[in-house]
Amino acid sequence: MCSSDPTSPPASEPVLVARDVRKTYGDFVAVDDVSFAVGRGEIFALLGPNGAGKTTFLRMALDILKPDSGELHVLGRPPSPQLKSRIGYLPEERGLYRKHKVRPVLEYLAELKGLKPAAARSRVRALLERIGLAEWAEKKIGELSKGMQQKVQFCGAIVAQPEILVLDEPFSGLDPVNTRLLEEILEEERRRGATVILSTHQIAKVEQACDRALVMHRGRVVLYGAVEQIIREHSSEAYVVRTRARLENLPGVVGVTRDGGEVHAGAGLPAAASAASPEQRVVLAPGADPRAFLSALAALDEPVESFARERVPLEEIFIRVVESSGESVRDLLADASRAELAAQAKGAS
Amino acid sequence: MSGRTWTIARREFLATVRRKGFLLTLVLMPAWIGFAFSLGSLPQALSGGKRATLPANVGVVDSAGVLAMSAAENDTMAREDGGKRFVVRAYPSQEAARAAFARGDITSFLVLPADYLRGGAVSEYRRPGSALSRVTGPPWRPWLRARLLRGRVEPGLVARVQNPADGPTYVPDDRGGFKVFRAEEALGTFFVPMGFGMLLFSSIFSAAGYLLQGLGEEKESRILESLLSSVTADELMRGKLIGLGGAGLLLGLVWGALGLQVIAAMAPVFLPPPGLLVILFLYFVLGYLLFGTIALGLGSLVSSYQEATTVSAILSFVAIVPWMVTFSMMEEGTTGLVRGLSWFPLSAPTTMTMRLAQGGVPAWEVALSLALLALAGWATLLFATRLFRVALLLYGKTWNLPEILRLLKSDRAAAR
Repeated sequence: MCSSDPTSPPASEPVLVARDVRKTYGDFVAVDDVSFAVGRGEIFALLGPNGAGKTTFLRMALDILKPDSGELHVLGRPPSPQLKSRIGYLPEERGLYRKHKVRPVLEYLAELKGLKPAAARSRVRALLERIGLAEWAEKKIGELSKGMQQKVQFCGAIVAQPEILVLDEPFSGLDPVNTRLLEEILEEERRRGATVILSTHQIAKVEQACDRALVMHRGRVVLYGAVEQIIREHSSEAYVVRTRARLENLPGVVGVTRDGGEVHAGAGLPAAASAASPEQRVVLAPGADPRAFLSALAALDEPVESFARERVPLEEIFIRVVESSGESVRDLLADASRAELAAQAKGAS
Repeated sequence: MSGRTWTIARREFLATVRRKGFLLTLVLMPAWIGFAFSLGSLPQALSGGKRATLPANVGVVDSAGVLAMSAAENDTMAREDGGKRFVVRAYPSQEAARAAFARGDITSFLVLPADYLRGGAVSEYRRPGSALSRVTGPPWRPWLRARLLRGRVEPGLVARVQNPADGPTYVPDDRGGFKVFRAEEALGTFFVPMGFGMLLFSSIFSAAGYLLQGLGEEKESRILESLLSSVTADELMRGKLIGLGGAGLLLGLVWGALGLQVIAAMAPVFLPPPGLLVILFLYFVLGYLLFGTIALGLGSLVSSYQEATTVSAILSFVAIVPWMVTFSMMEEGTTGLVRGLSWFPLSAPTTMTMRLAQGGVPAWEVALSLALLALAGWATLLFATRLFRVALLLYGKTWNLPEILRLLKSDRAAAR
């Protein structure tokens, strides 16, 4: 775990701070002493398998549920009805008035967030234009495709230009074009100054878009920190080098993997002997100076096509960390995918 | 009350009154009642109003020889209510009467056997009539009574035997004294309370039904979590109560105004005093508060529109039973049961309204009934609000009472 202490604060002023927040349903502990902070203007990922406690936590932040104990501050004070107009929410449980038209429903949601009717009208018009649904404004929501309904619901979350945007699986059910569109709008929201809290199972998306992340499992925080820091801390001293040179005897090298097999250092082969494949994974000894290795590499006769520190995907780290708590994350993720597919199938029917 | 509550109330009101179902109920209900009433007078209207005055012929076979009727004589008989009149013809034998019946000369005939004075048996031969004509009794009994006495006792006595008492009846008035009871008022005391009770029942339960069904629809479409990220459960509940209460009130006002127009045109004496209309309004508000909050509490436990419709039907049934019991007992005056039902909150709105329309209800009883109703509404509101708050986001569950109580307990713990 990187950290679960809010004393490792975000770079910017925190807009959400949780200290030892706990929520139980009878004997079941849904959120177990969770502590973390989210900074203004961040895109923050809230990750975890199904049943990890993410939705319960988000509902507490939105003042839909009350915590049993602990301290929770949103925009500088405990969650309250007055804060609701400053937070936009796209819940995992999708739902809209299917028998009603797109424009009036969005105007209603905007008015509930405190916009005056005229402002709501103009904001909805602009938003539908931006998201490519202007010509569907007077259609009943039930007549739209699932992807379009998803976009309408996304509009409902950002319609009042909230300071905090909480999005639970915002990309589910969207094609790549619309996924890109939503990513662009999220970036626009961030530039406007909004903080985005993203809850998703698409961990690759987190790696690409989020500044910091928190992983929950069985109600507890198991990983927390900047995405890059998490990846760095969970990566070994390994480098991926594309060259036909043999690297086993270079300074600091303790192991090389190439052509699908491992070659141990000090084998006494000529340094410049060709390998079948140019891609090699090089592991340096703990404390070895990578700059010395790089200098020796540059001095070889064989050209070096690329050199990079090996990057462990966040998804792999997620799996490792959660599995270390004794659970098969692959099974959990498979369950999550199955649940998502079932939800999509239900939505489509 | 927050602006968000009013936004919800406005949206719920407009979404409901724009529904085709609401508009049909608003217009079709009075149209249907008007049609049903006009249907009764349709035959008369079709015959240009002459039908009732055309005499139907009745035959009599007097084997006992007690009626002193000649074959040439045409007597007349009329219903006791002064309605339909019949021409009576004597026939010498049952065969002759049967032949006349078969030819259509007469529509029915009576046979007095030779031992009539000893046994009193009279056989009536007729085509099957309506159920109502059987219930009201054959019109020939008073005629037979008069005919038996004719020529045997003085005419004045015949008239008194026929109608032994013909004077005013006095009933209690609102000032503690008595007033003359008019025959037409009997009709009024029957239909006007029924109308008021029906009006109140329909408007309250239409609104409560819309509440339940709307909530069922929202639970089914899973929109509630989005709404609760913008408003509190309490605001949502209050907004729905106000908005759909407005829709129910609109129904009641339109139907009530139409009913008053009809009463004003047909029998102005039955127009209720303005004070009664104010009390009626209070019963609507408090009755709706009670049943509306029950509907919302139950609605938070359902998972779909279909379940909500079922619960709505059960709720209406629970409320209509005391109303029907009261209605059936009204003719016996205010019995202890009727008085109790008019105080009991679940039946008070309809039962007390019917009693008020009949008149003679002491003011303290009205005040007590309203106070109990308000108290029950307030208690239900508190209970339903908590239930609404904790159960709104729970789906697909079959509830039992211990589970509901446990849920409420967890809400109280979290609120501390």
